[in-house]
Amino acid sequence: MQVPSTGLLRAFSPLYKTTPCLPWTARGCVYQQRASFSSTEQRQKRNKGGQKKDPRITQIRYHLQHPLTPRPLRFSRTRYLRHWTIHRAWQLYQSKLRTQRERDLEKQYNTMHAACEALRLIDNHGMTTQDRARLGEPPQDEGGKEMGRLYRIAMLKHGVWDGVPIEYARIQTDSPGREGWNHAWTQ
Amino acid sequence: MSPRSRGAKRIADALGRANPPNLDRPLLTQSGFSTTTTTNNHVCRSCRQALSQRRYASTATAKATVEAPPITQLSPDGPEASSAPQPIYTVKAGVVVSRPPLITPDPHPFETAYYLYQRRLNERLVLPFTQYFYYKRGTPAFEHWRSHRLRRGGTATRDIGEYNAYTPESWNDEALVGDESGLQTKIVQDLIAEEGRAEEFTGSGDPKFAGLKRRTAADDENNQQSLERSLQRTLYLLVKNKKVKGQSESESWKFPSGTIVGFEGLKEAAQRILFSSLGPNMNTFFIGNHPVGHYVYKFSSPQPRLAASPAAAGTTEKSKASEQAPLKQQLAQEGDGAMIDGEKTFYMKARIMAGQADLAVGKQNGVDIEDYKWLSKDEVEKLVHPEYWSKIRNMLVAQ
Repeated sequence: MQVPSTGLLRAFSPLYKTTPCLPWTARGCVYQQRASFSSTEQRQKRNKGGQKKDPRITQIRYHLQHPLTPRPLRFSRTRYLRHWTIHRAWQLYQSKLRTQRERDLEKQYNTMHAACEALRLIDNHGMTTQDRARLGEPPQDEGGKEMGRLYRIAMLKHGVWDGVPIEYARIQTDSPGREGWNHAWTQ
Repeated sequence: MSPRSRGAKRIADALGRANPPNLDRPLLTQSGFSTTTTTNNHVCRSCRQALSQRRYASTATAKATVEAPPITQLSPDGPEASSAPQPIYTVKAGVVVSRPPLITPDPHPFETAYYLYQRRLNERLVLPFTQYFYYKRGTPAFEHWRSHRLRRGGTATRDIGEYNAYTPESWNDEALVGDESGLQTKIVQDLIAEEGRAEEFTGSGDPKFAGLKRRTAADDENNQQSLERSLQRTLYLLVKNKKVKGQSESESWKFPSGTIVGFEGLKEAAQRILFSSLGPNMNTFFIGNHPVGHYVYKFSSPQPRLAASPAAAGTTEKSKASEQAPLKQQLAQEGDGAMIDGEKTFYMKARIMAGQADLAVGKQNGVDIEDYKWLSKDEVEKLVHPEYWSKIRNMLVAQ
């Protein structure tokens, strides 16, 4: 049986490193390196004036070659039409999704705006000056002070970003966790 | 030009309208300050109203800034019918508690098909898989991978089904209708089975699930109180208030709400209401200080406000004497009991991250909540009264 070569192993395995040193990617970061400061290729006499080669880069470059690349697609007429149809359908579908999303956001915003407007016009009795005028009631003497009080409190921005929990940033996963929802959470 | 009285009318008109007729003449008010008609952004609107009101309290109608009237239900009587001395709307704070989706949504069939199509095209275009870079000749891993590749029809990638891009038949890359090779569940299933790692995920050796169940027990039972149901959708908390005579079942299902007490703001009120009616064992976060929606409910005829017991037609907490503090000064003028015209509820948004609602706490605090449910947007539509739905639908998220 032929002994398998250790070329790849030597090249990529960290176990073959004799002395502990920083990885290749950290070269130039810390001054203790034996590598040169410059990134210009280094030529060596033992390579007959050729440049110093890194076997890992050599391996990667070798494996990135293939006689079958690049491979342009070749479609028949009807195949191309089907491709074009699929492309158009996808664009249409995506734009529909996008407009639907935008509309939903717009609706949410407008609802918020309307709620804030309604809040602004309200006094402690939930009446606006228009309501009172319509009903023939005189405007409140202290209408200026209590009118829109809740609105002014709602518009305060001090401390809104304090205490935002990290769980708020929980993203959607492909499947739920093993424990599921913690229904038994207590304060 | 008709002679116009100085003062009230002029200020109010000018401040109210965007383009008043006399553009060039600056205004001179009784107090002496002058304002230009077109741009007057130095005073906020509520202060402007206060100014006009304070000065012209004797006039019957103060021309405030022209605003759209609040959204009200059409009552059969109309506004003129109310002859009660002090019409009032109860201002309430409500909460829209949402549990956001925990898992990614199921892809649309078109999406699945399109992604499979794209993966196959990609296979045709890119560099062939460099097997000797990843697998060492002569090792067991190499042999294992090789044999499985043969089973797949000669292709390295596991997510395009039985397609090989390097044979004379590679032109035939389109999957037919009904082809399930693009389905995520099938891909994962085959992958897990091939790797022989089913034990790691389920412990029961069933590669079909491989620990990646997207439906929970709550889904199968359709337990609408559970927060594990419908993991792909946003769930909203609805509560069932005590049924009032004449109301249908659907009218009693609403978002939790209650009256605002004292001088608290909306957010404080909403937090108090939520925790006192549904218990503190909910890890919630209230978003911002501003409301996300409102609902104006006008009673068909004015109801008297009852101090001891909650007002009719709505979730109100037991009004204690202290709650009347800010309003007493107004009520004292009238002398007789206040008549409530309706309710204006302003909703605050909150998110729940853990925990569950508890009806027992509400009962202790005297809140009349019979039941609660966590429902997605379309389920809310089915349950709730159509008129209420039309007012709250825009607050809710579809997915």
